[in-house]
Amino acid sequence: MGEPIINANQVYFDYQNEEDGSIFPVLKGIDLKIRDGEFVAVLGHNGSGKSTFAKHCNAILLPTSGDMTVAGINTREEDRLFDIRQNVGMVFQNPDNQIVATIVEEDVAFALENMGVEPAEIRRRVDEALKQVEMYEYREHAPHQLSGGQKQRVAIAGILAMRPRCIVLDEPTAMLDPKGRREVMKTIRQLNREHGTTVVLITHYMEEAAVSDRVVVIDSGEVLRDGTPKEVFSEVELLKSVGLDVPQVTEFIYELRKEGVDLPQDILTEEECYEALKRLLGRPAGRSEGNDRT
Amino acid sequence: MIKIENLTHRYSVGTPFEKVAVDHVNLEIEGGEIIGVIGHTGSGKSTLIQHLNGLLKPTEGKIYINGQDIWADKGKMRQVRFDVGLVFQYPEYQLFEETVYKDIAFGPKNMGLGEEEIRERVEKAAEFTGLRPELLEKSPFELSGGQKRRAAIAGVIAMEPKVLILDEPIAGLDPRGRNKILNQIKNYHDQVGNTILLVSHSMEDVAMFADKVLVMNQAKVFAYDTVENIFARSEELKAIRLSVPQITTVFHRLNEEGYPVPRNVYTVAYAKRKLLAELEKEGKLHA
Repeated sequence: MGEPIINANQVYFDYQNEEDGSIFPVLKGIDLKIRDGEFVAVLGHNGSGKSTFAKHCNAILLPTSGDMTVAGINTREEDRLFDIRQNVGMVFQNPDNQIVATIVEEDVAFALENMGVEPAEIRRRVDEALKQVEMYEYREHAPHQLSGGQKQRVAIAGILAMRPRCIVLDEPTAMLDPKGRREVMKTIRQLNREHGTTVVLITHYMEEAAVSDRVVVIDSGEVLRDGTPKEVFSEVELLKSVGLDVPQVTEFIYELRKEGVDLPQDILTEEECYEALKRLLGRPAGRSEGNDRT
Repeated sequence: MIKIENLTHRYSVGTPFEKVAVDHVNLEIEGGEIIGVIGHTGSGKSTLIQHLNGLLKPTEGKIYINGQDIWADKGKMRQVRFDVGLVFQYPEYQLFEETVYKDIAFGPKNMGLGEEEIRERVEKAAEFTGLRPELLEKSPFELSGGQKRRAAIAGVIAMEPKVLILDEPIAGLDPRGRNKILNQIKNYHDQVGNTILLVSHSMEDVAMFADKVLVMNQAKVFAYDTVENIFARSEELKAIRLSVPQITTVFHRLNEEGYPVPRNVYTVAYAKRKLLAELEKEGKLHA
């Protein structure tokens, strides 16, 4: 296992109001270790500090106090910024703000050119990255003619081409339609499962968090919960009290349990809900076999 | 209220990028309801709604608002814009005045209303959208994201439109912010009784807040019906790459396998009621 890829140790962060100098604490002592190969979803309402935390993962922001260590490097080491960003890449909410070139493959090559990578190597990495996000056949298209989901996948390819160990995505699907959302989520899952890339996914969609390995809930700048999706989503009341939701099927089962119906409390997906209700209802009428239960 | 007759819209006519965004659409929308508008990106829903207040001119076909062909007399277009209010996606980027009050007052002022009437409307619109009175004298840029969005919506509500169109009013907000804005829109609608078109990607939200649903697909109207009837067609919706609420999928599967549950389930509250009733009937409920 070794050193975690991201290690937050008592990270505090204050924003300072430029006009009156007043200080607003955003992160209040975050302790969090993210290991290689993990798929971590970070939840929290607007203003909870989750995006501020994300920006600490590749040294866009530095802690006011405490330490953030990324791939073994303290983010305060200014001359190692390059290494930090090569290890941890970041994807933002709005794909239109992240695309710089007029041709898809040139956009994906942009960072590599800046890094001074050999042209032949650039070609190889760009092709590979575009294939990973399933946008290879669009490599010669203009980004503005792509859909939101496609653009976001191009932005992800631009990060992948740098071959980071970890990719941090800050609400990458917030501006996409259901189809775009599915495409991007599929890409993210594949990266994690098949290529072993560590994923930190900041999201407002509970269905997306439900497919991760680990869910971290941030509230008022602190880690409120850290566990498997089943553990975290079983606390329906707590999540609601901090302005979050649970998947619709989870809420449904929770509501039934409140009425005394005997159902498991760790239902997260449609499939699990369907199976649980089937068990509850017993054999359907009209299809029962000879030895019907009474 | 709204009648769309044989509407076609082509973009970039005469160029290699020519594209039919809306293809011979016929539709009649009665007044006084909330209509959810769904369809994936590129289905034509944004193009369609931008015709309703004359922002886009039909390539072919006609739009009638209250029986009036909106392009018949160009001098009347101004009135159409007051009657049909359109709130764009991410409307908070369109705030521009020095104070929230002035921003909300901008529309009513253009309508030529008197000071007193303007003040009344601004205050009412702020109340509908849950903006506290003390925020009205602030600069819009001092507000939080959710407050800015509400201020932008208030600016359109203040014109008291007969038809209010909201293009993804909750995109990018967290669950609490989403519910708050949607509930405020619903309350506003209950009090005013105007027609609201709510464009949304969230099927759960459409199921909760809309009376009817308009489904767009490939530049055409795929369906226009009650929420109940629309979500009963979940297989078809999935085939055109839309989703249905999770709970609907589960109940459809159970129903198809012969379990005694209804198909027309799309909210948690309704699903709960139906399932509890069934359990009670079978004596499986020992609360």
